[in-house]
Formats: sequence, structure tokens, C-alpha cells
Amino acid sequence: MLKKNIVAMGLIFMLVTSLAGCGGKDKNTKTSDSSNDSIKQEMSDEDAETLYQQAIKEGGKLNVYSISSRMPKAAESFMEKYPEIKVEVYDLKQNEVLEKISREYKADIHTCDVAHLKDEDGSVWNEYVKNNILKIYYPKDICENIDSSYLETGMPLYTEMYFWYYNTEVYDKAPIDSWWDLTREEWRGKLITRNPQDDSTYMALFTNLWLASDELEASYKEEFGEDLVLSKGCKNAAEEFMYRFCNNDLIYAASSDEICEAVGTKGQDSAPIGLAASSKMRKVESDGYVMNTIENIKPFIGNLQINYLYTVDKSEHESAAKLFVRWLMGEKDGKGKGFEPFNTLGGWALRKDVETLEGNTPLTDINYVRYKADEVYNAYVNVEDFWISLQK
Amino acid sequence: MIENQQRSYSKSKRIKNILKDVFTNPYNIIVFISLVFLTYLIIVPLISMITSTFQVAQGELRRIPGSQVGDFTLYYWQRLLASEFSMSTLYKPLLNSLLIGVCVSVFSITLGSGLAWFMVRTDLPFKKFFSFAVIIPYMIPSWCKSMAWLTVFRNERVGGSAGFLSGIGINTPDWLAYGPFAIICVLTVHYYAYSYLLTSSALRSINSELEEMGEIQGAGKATILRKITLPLVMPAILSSVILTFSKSIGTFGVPAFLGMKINYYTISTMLYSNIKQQNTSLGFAISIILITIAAMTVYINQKIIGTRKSYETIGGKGGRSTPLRLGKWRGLFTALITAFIGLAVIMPIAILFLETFLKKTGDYSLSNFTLHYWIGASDPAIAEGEAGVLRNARFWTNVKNTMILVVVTSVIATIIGQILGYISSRGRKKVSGKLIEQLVFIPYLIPSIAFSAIYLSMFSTRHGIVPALYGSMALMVVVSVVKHIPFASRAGTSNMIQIGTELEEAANIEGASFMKRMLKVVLPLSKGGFISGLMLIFISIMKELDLIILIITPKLATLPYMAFQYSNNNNNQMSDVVAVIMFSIVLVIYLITNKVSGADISSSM
Repeated sequence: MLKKNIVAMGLIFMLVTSLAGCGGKDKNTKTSDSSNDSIKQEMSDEDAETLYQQAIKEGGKLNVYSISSRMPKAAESFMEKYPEIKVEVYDLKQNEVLEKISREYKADIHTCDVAHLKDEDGSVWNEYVKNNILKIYYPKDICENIDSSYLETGMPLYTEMYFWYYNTEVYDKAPIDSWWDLTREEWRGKLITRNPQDDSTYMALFTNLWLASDELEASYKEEFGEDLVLSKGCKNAAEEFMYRFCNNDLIYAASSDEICEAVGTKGQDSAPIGLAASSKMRKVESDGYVMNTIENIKPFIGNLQINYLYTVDKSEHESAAKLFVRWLMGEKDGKGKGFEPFNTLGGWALRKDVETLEGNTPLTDINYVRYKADEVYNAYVNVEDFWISLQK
Repeated sequence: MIENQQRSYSKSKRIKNILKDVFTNPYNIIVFISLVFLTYLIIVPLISMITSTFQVAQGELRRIPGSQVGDFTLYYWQRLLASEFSMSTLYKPLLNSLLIGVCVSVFSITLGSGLAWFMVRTDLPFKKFFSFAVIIPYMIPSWCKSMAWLTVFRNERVGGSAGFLSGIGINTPDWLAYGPFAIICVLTVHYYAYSYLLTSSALRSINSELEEMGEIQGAGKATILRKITLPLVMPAILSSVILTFSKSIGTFGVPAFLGMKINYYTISTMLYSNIKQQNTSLGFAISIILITIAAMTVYINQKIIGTRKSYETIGGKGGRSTPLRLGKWRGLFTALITAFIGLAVIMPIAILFLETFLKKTGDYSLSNFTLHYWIGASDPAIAEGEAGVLRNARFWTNVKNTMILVVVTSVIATIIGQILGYISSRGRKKVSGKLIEQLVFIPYLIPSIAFSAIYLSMFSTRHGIVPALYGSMALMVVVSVVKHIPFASRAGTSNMIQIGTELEEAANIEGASFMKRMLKVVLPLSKGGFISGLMLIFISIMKELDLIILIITPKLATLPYMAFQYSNNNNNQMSDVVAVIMFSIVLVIYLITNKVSGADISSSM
């Protein structure tokens, strides 16, 4: 009996020591401001057929981690076109995809071949791409049809945006045309949004305002005809805006769905206006909501929420991954079926040769700001801290 | 000198004897094996969490200039405990959580054990139906109940369709519709099931002779209840207090749904928000604070139980139970319980069920009703061509996966729980018992997503003798078992505490081995508590998503995952269909268990 227990003791010791290895952090990850010379926009010009043949040799398998439930549809059409490759789609949330990829990467497991993510706060670019965990595959023939500014930090599948929505029964036309309108007394208790503290998409939007503080200051003067006077604790016009906005009795919702329900439900006498994802325009059709987007706000609507595709370092199915990226992008001519599930109301293709879907305002008519991954990433924490300091 | 030698000789002999006793006593072996497992499955993840709160994460390079990833830092704790952000990110949410935790515990214990008393000890009519109905709220996902709450109390503030009361002209104030009051009410309805189940199985084991003796001595009904019945079910009640209190300070869904609208944060919503924002280390630090609070409640509970003598109610003698006559109060209580069931049970289900038939939500005209989301073929005009749930090719696989996960996990967890419960109760005054009681509680308050992330690392590759479980159902089972051990062992403890040690001692004297004692004496007597524990876990795992999301593979997808996918894709009605199906499965299993195990769960003697 005693012997048994000694053996067992030894086992515990082994367990604990062997585990010590999996808790530690990688020391050799790069800092965010290190140079990114290694990440150039290297265009690849492999054609689909070559990739397909290579993919079959690599085992004919592919694993995709995606933030979209539409991905399985694209995978289905892919498997019809390339029947020798079996695709598995993991449908997860943004933080889950990243947590899973980085944990697996550290454990030297390389399940994920293609990752579909958003990067409005620049963290994927700065923490994953620059550290070479995620890679970007640029197919030359496809990238030729995409404005190079969209290609800087990832392969852009499509883009969304965040809009202010208003109820079309309550208001004949867009009831606001400036961010500063939102600080007016008449909107007190009638603004519904996610709390930026809970949703980086919103915080990133404020970060973009923060980076454009001068423009915001100018539009204040335009709106009120006088110079902006900063309150105590506010360092610039954007902080002043956040301070006033935050104190206008905001209603926080748990999701874009909830926001659109609050704004768009029929038969309301007075409805709030709400900041939500552009893709929720679909709710007009599916749920009979009476709402529309406000597409003209000074100084700008906000930033693009580009959905990016990445391949993964040490992936065992590299060719299949590349082939799948091509498929999702609509292949060479942009007409491939892979893009169809993503070409919906409130989503914009970034390929010049793919037409904007009917019902979507062309991107060129929307006043958005360019996505600046590094600037947003570095300013983000300041904006976050400022916002939290406003909470009482 | 000689004297000294002798003393040390006898001392060493004594130590040897003690050691011999320690290592041959089956109790100690069980304790030992349990400690090994708990160390690996609970302490290691905890240490990994604690460590990461002292290491600079990549994202913080922006905030801590000049640092490297992995450097030692006090940044997270300093930010949390003593910075200009502490008030809004820790102290205020913590106070809110404590308020909610205390209120929910008080209300749900009153409600749960009150109902249990009515069902078990009185001559209430329709007991069969009532005792079945009162457990249902726990089977309904909590967001369903939050939604039902808003359907009634929603006011103009949030916009959207008006709530029922607003609709008939009563404008409900904000404090009623959202915030602490609403959260406390909804959580109470969700969690009273713990105390109901634990207390009713405890009550059922009490021989009513004990109460009758009191009556003979001239004690009134109230005195009997207070002086005899209540002390006897105290372990069950205290177990429920711990479960309810910890769960209500740790839960995320309801406080998020009903609190965030008015910027009302609890520590759990703050924690999840941080983890979702990839502020993982800060999230872990908050979670460690939660664990500390729970450890304190367990400690206080140990103190209370430790100072009392004994609660053993399951003796060797056959007991009988005479229901108490409610007399003229019978009608009133029947009406009250019926009303409660109407509001807390039938209404949320009805709302959920109705939603699944609405082509467009919010439109209740007859032409808007459809079976499409259940059985419809793909129609490009509805839900972007998504066919009904029952036509989904993955549906039956998902049902199968869910059933395997739920059944295997709940059986394993319950057995382990009973064993751990045995240790905690028999070792109530020993360090081992106290230690294990504390240990098993930790997984309860580690946020599910963090828990599964750590397990993903721990089991991704082979570590010593621990096999790689990556991508397998086994890993999903392991995570679910460990996460539900607190449940299971609480149920086990309150169960085992009631079984008199004399019975075991008697068997021991008769020469029965430890195994035989367990199988022939302890287990049969603990059947009631075993099955109620099993059901609690079964229901809880059925709804689990966060816990397994990181380790699930598409082939191993479960029903909650399917519901998540639908709602993620804007198909809320289909998500509701899946929720209804999950609820139905739980209900059916519950009914079967009830039938098979006879009177054990809910029906009275």
C-alpha cells in the first residue's frame, strides 16, 4: 500500500512539473513597435489549378476559424468546386478565435489554416501578424482589383460599417448630421449604443474620432458657430465630445440586434436613435423594422470595419488555405460563388470589379475615415482609459 | 539520555503506527487520489491564471513603456485595486454584486426551501403537478427569463415595442424594469431550484417522528418548524446558500441583459467584458477576487457547520412521514403557488415557444404564423434560404453529441461529487475534508471561457502521463465534469452529512470492507440526493456553451452551439427553436428519471 502511494506521489510531481511548461509565455514575441520589414505585400501569382493539385497532395483538408456563420455556406460551394478538399468551419467569436489560435500555436498545434477576423482596433495586425503567427496571402490577380490602401494590413474579404439608425415612422429624414448633435439636450436619454467599454468596435470608432480631434473641433464651430471650450479633464475636442456624449444619459444595449429592435420597431411614438452594425439593415426585411441609416454625419461617419482573411503560420494545408482565400474573394474574376454569402445588405465588396449590391449606398458616396492600424492601435488605450475615467 | 532514547523510540513507533494507519485507511486513499486529481485539474489552472496576472501581456506594451512580453509586473493588480479606475472597474461593481448575491440567496433560499417544505411536508393539493412545475424555471435559459421580464416591465426608455404594463397604460419606472431589482427577481427565479432540490431531498429523509415528538411536548407548528425541522435541513440550506451566492455573483447573462442598459455593472459583467476585450490578465485578476470571496463563504459555512453537533437524519430505522394539515390556509397557498407558476414557469416558455412560429418577430397576426423555422424547406425569401432546424443536416449529429456529453458528464460528475461529498462530510473536522471542500469550489468561479482556454493548453499535447485530448469529446467531458464538481460535491456533501456514521460503523464491525460499505450502505441511502444532484448537473450542462466553445470541433458540435450559430447569423427564431428542443429534452429526461426513480426527486411521500 505504501509503495502505491509513493508511486502516486511521484505521479503528481510529474504532472505538476510537466505542466509548468504550458503556463509560461513566449519570451521571444516582438514588441508592437518593432519594425515590420518582414511583412511586405508580396504578391503571389499561383493559379487555382496548381494550388488545387498541391492541396490534394497536402492531404486535401482545410480548417477555417471564422467569426461569421455564413462561412459554412462558402465552404459548401468550395467543396462542390474542389471536391477533393474537405473543409471544416469553426464558428467562433473574435476573442475566441484569437485565444484558440494563440493557445494552439504555443502548444505547437497547427489546426487552423485560414482565419477570418475583424481588426478595427489594430490588435490582430500588431499582435498576431507582426509576430508572424498570422500571415497574409495576397493573390496577385485578385489584388490588382483592390485599392492598395485596403491591402496594407490584411486581405480584405469585405467591409462593414457602424451607422446611426433612426426610426422612419418617427422621423421623416435623418434627425442628426453631426456627431455634436448627439451632445444636445434633445437627445438626452434617447441614444442607444453599446458601451464602448464592452465592445472594442465602438471604442475603435471613438479612437478614430480621437485621432481626428481637429476635424471634430472644426465641425463643432460649424455646428454651434462658436469656438469649443474644453471642460476640466478634457485634453482635446474628441475627449470633450466623449465627455458630453457620455453624460447625455446613454442607453447601453447588449448587441446591435437589440439596438435595432429598439430603434426600428413599428408603431413607436418616440424612438431612440442607435449606433449599430450596417449589416443590421437586413432586419428591415427579416423583422419588418422601420428604420434607416444616417449616412451623412460631420466630420465623418466612422471607420470601415474590414473583415480580413489570414493564413496561419506553420499551417499544414497551406495550398488549400490559399485556394480557399481565392475562393472567398470570388476567384480571379470576382464572380466565384465563394463571395456570395458575404455580399449582403450592409456589407461592401472591396474589389472594384464586384458591383455594390442593390440597396447599399456606394462606398464612394460615404464619408468614412481610412483605416490606420498602427495609429488606432497605439491611441486605443488612451481613449479606453479616458472613457473609463468618465464612468462614475 | 536513556529516557530520551526510549521516548524517541516510542515516538518513532507511534509515528510508524500513525503512518500505517494513514496509508491503509481507505478513507485516506480516497482523499489522496482526490487530491491528486484536484491538484492537476484545479490548482494547476488556478496557478496558471494567477501567474498571468503578474506577467506583461502583449497588449499592455502600449501601457507599460519599455517592458517586454512576459516580464513580471504589478500593473494589473495596481490598476484594479489602487488606481483612478478602481472605483468604476472594481469596487462599485463588487458592491453591486454583493448586494445581488445576498438578496438572491435570501430570496431563493426562502422560496426554494419554502416550496420544498410545502411539497414534502404538507397536504397541499396537486402536489405532483406543482413539484414538477417548480423545477422548470431552472431548465429555461436565463436570457429567456430576462426577456420575459422585459416583455412585462419594459418601459419607454429603451424604445422598441412597449412592455405589457406600458401597453395598458402603466408606465413602469426604470428601477423596476432594469437594474438590481430586476436582476435579483430574475436570478431568484433561476436559482431557487438549488435550494428546492437540496432541501426537499433533505426533508424527505427526516422521520416525522422527530416532529411529532415536539408536538407531544406541546410545541406549536411554528416552534416545531423553527426548532426541529429547520436545524435538520440546515446542511442542505447552507449548501444552497453557497451555490446560490457564488453563482449569482459569478453569472453574466442576466446582469448584462438587465443591468448594462442603465450602466449598472456587476463584477461578473466587468469580468466578461474584460475577457471579451482581450484584457485577459485583468479579467483573470477579477476572477481571482471572485474566487477569494467564494472561498470565504465556504469557510464561514465550515465554521457554522463545525460548531454544530450532528445532522444525521438517515438512521437505520424506517421512517414515516405524516403530512402536515394546512387547514384553512390550503386554498390560499394553492392559489399563490399557482400564480407563481403561471408567472415564472408558463409565461417565459410561452413567449419562447410563440417566437418560434413568428415569420417576423413582433407581429402576432395569424398570417404571420409559420412552421418554417421548424420544418420549412429552404426558401430564399425567408432567413436567407436557411431551411428549418429539423431539416438541418447537422441537427441529429448535434443532438447525439449533446446527449453523449450531457449523460456521460453528469453521471461522472455526480459520482465524483458523492465521493468528494463523502470526504467533506466524514472529514468535517479534519484538514483533508476542509481542504477538499475549498478546492472543489474554485472551478465554479473561474469564468468558463478562461477555464476552457487553460484546459486547451493543458490537454493539447501529451504532458507526462496525461494524454493529448485535443479535439476529442473526452476533453469536453473533462472540462464539463470539473466545472460542475462544485455542484456535484455540494449535493454530495449535504447528502452524506445526513447519513449516520453508525450505519457504516455497524457494517464495519460486521466485517464489511470499505467498498462493500460504500456500495451496500452509503450509496443506496444516498440515492435521493444522488439523483437530484444528477439532474442539477444534467440541466446545467445541457445549456453550456462558453465552457466548451474553444475545444469544440464542428464534428462535435452541440445544440447550444447550434443555437449560437443561428443567432449569430440573425436567425433568432431558429435559435429559439433549438432552445425549445433543448428544453424539451431536459423535460423528458427529467420526467423519465422521475418515473424510474419513483418518489425521489419531486413527488411526495
